Amino acid sequence: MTEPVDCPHLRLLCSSVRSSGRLDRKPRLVRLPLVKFVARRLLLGVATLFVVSVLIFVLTKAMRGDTASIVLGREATPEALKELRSQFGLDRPIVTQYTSWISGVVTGDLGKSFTTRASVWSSLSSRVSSSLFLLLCAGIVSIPLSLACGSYAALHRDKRFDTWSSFVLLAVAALPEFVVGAFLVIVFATTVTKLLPATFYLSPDEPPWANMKGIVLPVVTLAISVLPYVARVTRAAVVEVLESDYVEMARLKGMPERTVLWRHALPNAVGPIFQVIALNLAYLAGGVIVVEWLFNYPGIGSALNDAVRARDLPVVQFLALSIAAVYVVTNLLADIGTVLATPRLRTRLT
Amino acid sequence: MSGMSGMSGMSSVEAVSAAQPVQPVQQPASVLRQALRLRRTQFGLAIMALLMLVAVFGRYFAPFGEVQVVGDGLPNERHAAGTLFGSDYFGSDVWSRFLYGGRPILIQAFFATLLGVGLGSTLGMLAAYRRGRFDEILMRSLDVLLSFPQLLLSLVVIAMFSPSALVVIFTVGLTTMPRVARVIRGAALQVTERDFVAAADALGESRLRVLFSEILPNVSAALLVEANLRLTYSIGLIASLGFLGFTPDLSAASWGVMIQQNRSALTFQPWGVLLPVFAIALLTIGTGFFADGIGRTVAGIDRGKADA
Amino acid sequence: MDRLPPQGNVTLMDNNDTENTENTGITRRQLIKGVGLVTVSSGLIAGLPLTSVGAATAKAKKGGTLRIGVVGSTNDIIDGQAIVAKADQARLMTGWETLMTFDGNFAPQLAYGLAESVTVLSTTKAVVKLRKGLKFSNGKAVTADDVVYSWQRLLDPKLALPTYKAATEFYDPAMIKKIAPLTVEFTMKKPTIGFEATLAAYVNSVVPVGYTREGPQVGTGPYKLKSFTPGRESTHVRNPYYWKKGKPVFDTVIIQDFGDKTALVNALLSGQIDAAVDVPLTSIPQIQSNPALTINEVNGGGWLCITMQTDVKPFDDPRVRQALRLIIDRQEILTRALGGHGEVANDLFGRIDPLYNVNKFPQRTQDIAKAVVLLNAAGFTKEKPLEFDLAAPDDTGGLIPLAQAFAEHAKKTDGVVKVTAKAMDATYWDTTYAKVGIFTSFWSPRSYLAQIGTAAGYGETNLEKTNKAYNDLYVQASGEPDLAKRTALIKQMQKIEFEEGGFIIPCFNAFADGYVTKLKGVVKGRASSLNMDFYGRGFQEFSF
Repeated sequence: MTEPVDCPHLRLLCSSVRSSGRLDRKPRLVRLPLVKFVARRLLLGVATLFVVSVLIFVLTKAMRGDTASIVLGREATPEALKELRSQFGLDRPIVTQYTSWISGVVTGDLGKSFTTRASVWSSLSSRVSSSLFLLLCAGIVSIPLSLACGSYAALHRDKRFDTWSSFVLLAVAALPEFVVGAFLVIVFATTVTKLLPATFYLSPDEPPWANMKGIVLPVVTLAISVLPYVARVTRAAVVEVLESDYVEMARLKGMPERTVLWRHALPNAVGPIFQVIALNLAYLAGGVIVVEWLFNYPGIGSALNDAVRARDLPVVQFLALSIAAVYVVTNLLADIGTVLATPRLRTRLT
Repeated sequence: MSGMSGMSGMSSVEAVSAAQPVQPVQQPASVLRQALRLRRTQFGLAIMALLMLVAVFGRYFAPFGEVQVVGDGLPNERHAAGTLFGSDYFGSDVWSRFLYGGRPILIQAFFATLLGVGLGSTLGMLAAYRRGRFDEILMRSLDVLLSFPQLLLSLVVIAMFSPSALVVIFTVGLTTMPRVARVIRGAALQVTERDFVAAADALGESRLRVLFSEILPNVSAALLVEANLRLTYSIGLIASLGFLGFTPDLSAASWGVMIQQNRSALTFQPWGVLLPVFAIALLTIGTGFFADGIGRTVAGIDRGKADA
Repeated sequence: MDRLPPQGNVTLMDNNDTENTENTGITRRQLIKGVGLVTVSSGLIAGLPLTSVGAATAKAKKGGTLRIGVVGSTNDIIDGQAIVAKADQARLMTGWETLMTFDGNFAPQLAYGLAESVTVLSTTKAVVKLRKGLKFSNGKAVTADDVVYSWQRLLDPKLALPTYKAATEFYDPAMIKKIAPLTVEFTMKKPTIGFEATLAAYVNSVVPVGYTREGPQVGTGPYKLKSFTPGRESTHVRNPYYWKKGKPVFDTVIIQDFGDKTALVNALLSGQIDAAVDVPLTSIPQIQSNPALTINEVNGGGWLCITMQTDVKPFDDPRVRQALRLIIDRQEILTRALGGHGEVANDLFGRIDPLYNVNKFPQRTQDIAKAVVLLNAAGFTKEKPLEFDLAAPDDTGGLIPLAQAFAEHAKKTDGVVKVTAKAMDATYWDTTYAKVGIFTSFWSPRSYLAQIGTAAGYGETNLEKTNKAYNDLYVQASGEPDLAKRTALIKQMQKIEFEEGGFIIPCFNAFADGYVTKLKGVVKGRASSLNMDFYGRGFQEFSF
């Protein structure tokens, strides 16, 4: 019943599932053989990343304020400004700056941070892994939970669980992460109870899993922010499958409901699940910015906020590119995974 | 909310319309009327209306000024004399700041949504109508924008200009635009294939006219759903930006900023955080329910016709 | 310590960027940039014995780890001669030492310093002799060459270290020469009484020849850097070559960064750290309620201000400047922004200077009626109001509330003055600071004359350019070794300052550190331009 409004992936899948018996109205893509499809998809991903990199570069260059002046602040002298601009390579033509940056990215040399003068990778690598760990935890918590929640609601449509979960999820869906996080801090870490730490602490030589107690609130915040949406999407996907012609057919043939469900319905929902996971990951990659800042979590989100303020361009560029890349790559994998996992789509490729 | 709105994903696989097969024109007015029969729409509207009243008119009931000092002037006093909820990080009245703080968010979110939905739907319809290379290039460029979480893009764009109300509106509006464009394009694709559009084309009507007098009325229901949904996200995004400190006027009370400013006193003077947290929560829940009610109504009508 | 007889002219220069401006919770990071000269009366200094060194902690048990919490970000740096934010200050103090240091009265002393003797020959010449047997943390001996290099680096305009703008008026690297393996001769460009104070400023430390910010991080301090992750933490281990026997006490010092003051205080309360540098003044009651924790509150003499440029219309009119000084409610700002911790100021600077408000001017208070009369006389009325934006950067705690409060106070003029408070990001320092007629700023504690020189280096108020009498007095006083004569000059200067200066100074801030009660080595309440009682002189004085 819920028609998610901004999920093209799902609509695509639902429609392809639903229209299985009919002539596909937009067959252009799916008629390509698998290899060609994957190749085209990869090419498109690379092209997108290229344009993304240009855009990031142009946008960061357009940030207000002269980078060297901001780094030097009140102490700036004309000599130091000139020196710093040449050190940072800001005195070169902008195209040269871009090509040297992007070739550095490709070869793994991300340049040096403007503020700390240390290599971007060495100062951010531990933050990247911390953020990935946070994403992983949030994913591990939210994905199975939202899939279970959504499927259960779909299988018991219009029963009590369905009604109530949809109501609660809808309410939670709209909340910004920092509101959820602030609320959790009030309840679990400060005003009401002090069960959990309000901020995350980690010594640099420790991996993030060394502080599992501290990671609870950030993970729960992210999970709460993601869960409603994915659960609603899952529910809709399963409902669509259950309503499809072939499930109907299987039922008419007199198959037991359990067989219908496990043999026919759920395998066909695997495709949408890939998309859902991709959405989930892409969503979390954006959500970490606020959550990390809120909980003082040493990941890329809080680093990004610092770097934008300090106009530390190499850091902003690297982080923005990474976040965009996560998005592009997960979508790419999801699209390919969907086609591979959905028998109907796969066979139609050939 | 950033990522939430970033979810309309990038995919080479073409999206098909939200409103499944061909449907008759849904008048927004009738959709609204039907939607209001749903309990969740009523619930959403009630909360939304209440919070909007507080946001818009609250300041006229504020016992103190926006920056006025209260009690003996000490910051973070839970029981500052003459106040309902104590004083904030700067010795001002929490309750008055709260009453002042809703309007900026609401106004900025409203205009940002208007801009985003206006531009997005125009582009979406144009893409669906012109098809071909124009469509392809436009949608691919929007895909590029979509690969950034809305919050990330907003941070960078705000850093390009001084954070004024106008910049926040444009930033949030422009990052909303590609998301709307995708959905409206999907809805419009159905319409453009229909006879009356071809007829209008054949009659040599101007493209603009076809776009706005033939296609627009037919996607208006989808537009209504989208607009409401985007309003919810915009409120969340603007509040988040305020929370991160990217806000036009730090001295002006604003719910998102209030949470950030009073966070350090959370353990002994929680009201400065609690009030705005509840307000933003309720406001987004209200708009969320309202949007969902309308969405259900539109989808329900669609399905009814399609299944028949 | 060799010094000039009775009227010995000593200047302290203190780069103590004790910004204690936080209290407002607006910013999670305080930029502390500002340098200056502190002049203290030579008579006072000469009369003081040198402080005995660290006898209190002689019996302390060696070993263990000390954990210090600071507010930091990924933009933090380590540099033996520079800081960007408070977090950098603590790190600098672990690894680097200056030729002289300040005592609890802001007087320069040899204790804790690398100089064995400092001989001030005249107001333009001095000789510094290093202690024998000093070694850097890599085992290399400290020589006069290192001192010469250190000053070349400090005065290099290309590096824009904090010392440059404050000291370049008096010092030229070419005039600092090695005259013996351990002896350096300083010749000044123009007369100054502030030589010893300059040596004592904590950023003017001695680094080895060839030192750069990129490393290796080598200094003479009690600890040497083991690892540093900006925005996270740094680990400092005992310097095996440290010159003072039995010091430091702890094997390891860990300086941990917190994203904001809230997180810092939480960490202290939960026992994650042993000491929190610069806790919000509003959190003091909460920390004190815990018997395991102690607060050390110090009236630091740092200040926030609104600066009016005396060479920019309409602030070139002294009546306008005086009127705006009468509009502000100083007590209210002290209460609101600092929770009352600190003291009300009187538009005069140099709180730590014995000559502070030497004329004993009465406390200036809000007087709107008088302000309006002055403004009317200057041509501003309700119909033709004085309108301006007052910008403040969001990276320095307290400035935005100051601008806000001032705009609020201006409303009381009933439309004669209309102020719009404007918050800006870090671009403020590039686009607005000292580039418009009125703006917000902040300064560390300095002596009166040092503050004038430093503010001039940064282009604030420009009173020395617009008021010839004032400038003549300044030049005379800076080179005047005789205290009585200097006092007479400074009296006249402060009169001009009070009656037509460009600073609106609402209050001097206190600052506070919280630490576990078992931590020994902090002399509570002792004046210190740096947190934690000069960071326990690089943490060597601390023990459990």
